[in-house]
Amino acid sequence: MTTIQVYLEEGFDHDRVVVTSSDSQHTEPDVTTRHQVGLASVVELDSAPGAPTTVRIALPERGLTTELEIDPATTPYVRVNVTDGALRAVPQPAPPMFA
Amino acid sequence: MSIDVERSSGHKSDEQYRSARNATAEVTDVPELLSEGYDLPDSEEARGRTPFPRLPTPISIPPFLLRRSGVYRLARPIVLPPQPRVPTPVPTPIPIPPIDLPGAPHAGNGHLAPGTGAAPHPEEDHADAAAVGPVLPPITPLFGTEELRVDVDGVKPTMTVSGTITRLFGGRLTWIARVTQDPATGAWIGPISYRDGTTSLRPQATVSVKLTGGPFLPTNRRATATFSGGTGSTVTYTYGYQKAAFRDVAFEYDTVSDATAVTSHNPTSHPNHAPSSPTSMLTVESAYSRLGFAVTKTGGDSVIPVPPGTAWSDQEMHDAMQAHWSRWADAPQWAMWVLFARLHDMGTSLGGIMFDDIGTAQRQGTAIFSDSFISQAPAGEANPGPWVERMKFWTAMHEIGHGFNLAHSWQKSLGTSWVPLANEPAALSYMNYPYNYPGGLDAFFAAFDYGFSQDELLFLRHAPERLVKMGAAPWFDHHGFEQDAYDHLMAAATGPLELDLRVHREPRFEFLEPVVMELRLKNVSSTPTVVDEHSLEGDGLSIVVARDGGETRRWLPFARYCTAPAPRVLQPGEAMYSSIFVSAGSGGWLVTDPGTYTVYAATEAIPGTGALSKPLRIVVERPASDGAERLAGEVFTQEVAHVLAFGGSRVMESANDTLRELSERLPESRAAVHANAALGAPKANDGKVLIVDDSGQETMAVVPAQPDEANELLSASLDDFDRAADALGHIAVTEQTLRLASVLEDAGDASARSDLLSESADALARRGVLPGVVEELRSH
Repeated sequence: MTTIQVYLEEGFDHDRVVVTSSDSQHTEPDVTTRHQVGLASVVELDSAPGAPTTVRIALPERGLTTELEIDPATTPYVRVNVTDGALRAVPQPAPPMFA
Repeated sequence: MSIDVERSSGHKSDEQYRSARNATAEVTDVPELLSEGYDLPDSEEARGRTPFPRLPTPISIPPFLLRRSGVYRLARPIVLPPQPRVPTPVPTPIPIPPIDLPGAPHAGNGHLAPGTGAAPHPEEDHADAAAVGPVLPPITPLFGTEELRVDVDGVKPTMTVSGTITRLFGGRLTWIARVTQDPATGAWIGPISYRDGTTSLRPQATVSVKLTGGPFLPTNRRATATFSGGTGSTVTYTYGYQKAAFRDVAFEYDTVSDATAVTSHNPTSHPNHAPSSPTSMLTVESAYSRLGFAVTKTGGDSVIPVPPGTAWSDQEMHDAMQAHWSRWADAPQWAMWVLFARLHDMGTSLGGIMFDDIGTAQRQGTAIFSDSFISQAPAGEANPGPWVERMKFWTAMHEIGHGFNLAHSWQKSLGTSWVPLANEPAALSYMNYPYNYPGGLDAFFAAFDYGFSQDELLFLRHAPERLVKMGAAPWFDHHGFEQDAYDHLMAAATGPLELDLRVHREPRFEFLEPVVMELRLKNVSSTPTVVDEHSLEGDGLSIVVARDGGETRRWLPFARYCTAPAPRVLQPGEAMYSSIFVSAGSGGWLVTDPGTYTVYAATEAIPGTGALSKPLRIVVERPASDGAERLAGEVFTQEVAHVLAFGGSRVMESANDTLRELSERLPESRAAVHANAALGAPKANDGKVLIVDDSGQETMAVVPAQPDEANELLSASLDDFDRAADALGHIAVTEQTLRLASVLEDAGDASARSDLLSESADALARRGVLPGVVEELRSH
């Protein structure tokens, strides 16, 4: 198994966040952005190696959902932001940096 | 609060200002460099365009000598306005005629004379109204100070003038005006577009500031500000130059034993740097200093021993801050703790964090992680050493910026900002992530001049202090406000005199016990100073009593004395003293119910120079008996207050009856000490009284002394001398002792008189009274 890291960054305010991949699901019950680092939480998902997988992020109470297909071998990091009332997820090859 | 800060008008670049100043100023000589300049021409760009020419003359004045930005303060920091005429609501032993008191210096039309630094005195408008009954003047202008922040030149000027008006109990106002220079007059003019606090303290709409004084003597610099328009009349104040830095702050660095600290960096050490970046070594302190902060270091760069490989949680760092920071306090203060640790428990993705969002006073602690991504230069980086040093330095500056309440550049519009702000994702600021900058990290550092954005500088230099200061926060506004104001005023009240408000006992008072305090005004300088002999009793003295959870009220004396100036030389270490009956004044009783009270005093012993006491906290205990509680209604009357304040009365029989009842019912109380003293003192001597007959005719009569009764009452008052000294204070108990000694002398009881003086002197000596006072009493 390989690991996908989903970075829940800006725009979260006591949200319940459900993150799923083909092989696992994780729920964060209370996600809030810490503005001094621009990060709320990091969710790790298991994924079968060698094949693309679909990652789905949902904020059920706000009716927001987005999904993207990533290749864990090349872009195992996903940055997720709530911007202008929408969820935006971007895959990355390297972990994002915060300060 | 009104918010309308203009965001960009009137801005000029550093370069424009340096060029403009050099183009217009020429002198024939150049003095030694001044040490205070934080705007040294430190960039290649600036150095290249504004070289210091050699002789022959004329030559340009270096920009840092011409900079006039900084903090100016009213020349007269503590404003003590004349009190209104005080009515005489009850008969007094010797009627006090109304007195016309001198007002503040005016230039006419309600405008203050330039240079006085005095505030308008709205109380004067109430003077006539006082004739119809007791009137408490508004507290507003009691103790106050005012500073003006001028930000029109130097490094990254925001073309702003702002001010903070502080009144100890009358509120505070921060106002901001974006200004442009009038080419005709040279004055900096702009509308006041932001106000936070008590807007009535400065209702005018526009400010015009004229800066005067030569470049070589900063102490001669003045800012003359005229406020006009709006709902207030035009006023002009003159402020004296105080300092170049807009804020003063202290940083303390501690390093974990398995981590490395980076607190300095030379921007030119990496070939990819902006032409406008500083060319010399920057430390964290100097980097903030050049942007307008006076930074001092505290502590000793301690090392915190831990097992190698330690990762830190926010709570652990907060605990370490409490244990290792020499300045730790859960309270607002201009100070910050910076920890250099190896790694946060979040891992290498976190380069640093302002971890202190824990507890009540937040934003006091930051951390930088030396083994995080900031120590990992990208593959192929030709200068990995300078790259890492630069990232670590940037991170330290960035995290400290969060401590100043600065958000990330792309977060400006989030939450509740102090003024409407727009996101600045492309800002060349310490608060932006270089790796998120358009074009990436290399593009960022190719243009970064090691500063903050204009909006950020506006906030750092001019926003209300409570929004910027570490440990304070918007929700903390009301809480702790008075202490904050007091700190400001204490800082402003510099001079050779120290005012001490005190009691010579534990500051706990029995219910019904009159509160008497003593004032000491001491020359704490090394040279003699001239003061007014009446500083502790005349118009120059102001006292405020604040009850926790209750009202804050100004103490007003029953009697006003119109005296000619009486200069007195206070030698170094010498002091003058007075005794004050604080419980009540002409405005009524201030200390009655059980609870905690805070008392402040200020005096203007030297014209233009104030002295402010430290606050004295006292506690009034609950009634010790039902009898005490039942007497309260009779004791807390204006007549009884009057008798106690004057030390007795020959005509106010109702009040005397109450004091007799108090003495009989509560003979062991300290209140009985006061009652017996007030009853006995008028009987010790003959005294004049005003008699009004049935026809309304006023005649003066003399009431003869009653020495036996005086002896009995004063002896009862002084029977337990320590209790009497606790209750009356050292000054008043000495007076009563001398009064009783005089009665005994008149009665021919030399032995009793000698014993009284000797025993009283011994007791006062035990209580630490000055030897001279003790010996004077003993040998009287």
